[in-house]
Amino acid sequence: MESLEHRDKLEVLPVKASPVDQIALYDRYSAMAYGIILQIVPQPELAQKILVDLFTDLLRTSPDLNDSGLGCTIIRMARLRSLEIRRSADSVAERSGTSFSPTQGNLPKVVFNLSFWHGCHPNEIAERLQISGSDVMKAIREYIKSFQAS
Amino acid sequence: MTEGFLEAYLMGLTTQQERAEVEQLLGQDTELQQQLEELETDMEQFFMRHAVPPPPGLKNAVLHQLGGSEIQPWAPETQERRRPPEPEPTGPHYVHVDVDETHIRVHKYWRPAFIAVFVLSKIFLILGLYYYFKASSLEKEMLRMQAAPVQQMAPAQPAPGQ
Repeated sequence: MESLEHRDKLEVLPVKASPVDQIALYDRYSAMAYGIILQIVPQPELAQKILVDLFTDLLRTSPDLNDSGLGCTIIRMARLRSLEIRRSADSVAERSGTSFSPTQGNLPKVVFNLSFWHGCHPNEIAERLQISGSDVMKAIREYIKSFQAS
Repeated sequence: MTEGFLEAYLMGLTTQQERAEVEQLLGQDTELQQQLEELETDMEQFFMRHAVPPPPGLKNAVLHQLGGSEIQPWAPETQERRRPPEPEPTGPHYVHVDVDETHIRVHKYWRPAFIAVFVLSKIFLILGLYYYFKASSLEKEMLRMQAAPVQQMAPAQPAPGQ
């Protein structure tokens, strides 16, 4: 199996995807990526720039449209790039101001929000929420399992 | 494997060292690989449900940046876009006509006009034929009537021997 690290690597390959494939890939995943980017970077102008750069770089790598992990690769790329842009704009103080008061019922959601949307490392979340690292992982798992149900 | 690590790995929430560990395990365990693929599908479907369609101009911008399009470069939607000023007309306005064209376009009002002309031409043709045959038959009748008195008068003439 192809590793995630390899998948996320953006090497410019000499072979270019055909324009039809490029358009198909954009049509299939652009709305999903834009949704993620807007959630992290709510400024539309900035979000649009991230999306354009993301797909430009992605399409230069000639990705395989039939790759089952391509959607997740785009999700990760959209998240990482948006977080990078937001980190450069936000101060650490603003990020620390995020609500850290979960209840038992919404713990998985809070943990997921902090890790995925706010880019907090699981160790940082564990420390702030006063829970163990394995509890953080469990919460992430629980929340992702709810994807199936929703 | 610790619970939730696979999910965290998939979302890119793990460190490089943790990622290497997960990848090592994935290389050995096919069941884990299958689990990962299922998670990928679920995750993609989840984010697809929360998708936000981007402005239509962005596709052209991506294609333009890839260098495979003649489309104009993109500017963010919120920026004011100025239309290029239309060139001032400097001379008389001409309509370009391509001589190789096999079809012409006319105004729609010409359609009833053509139909009226066609119907009138048929009416005049029928009337022309009708009056032609009528005139022809009348002429024959006149010739017949002119010939009739001669035939009627012929027996009334006295015999030369009387």
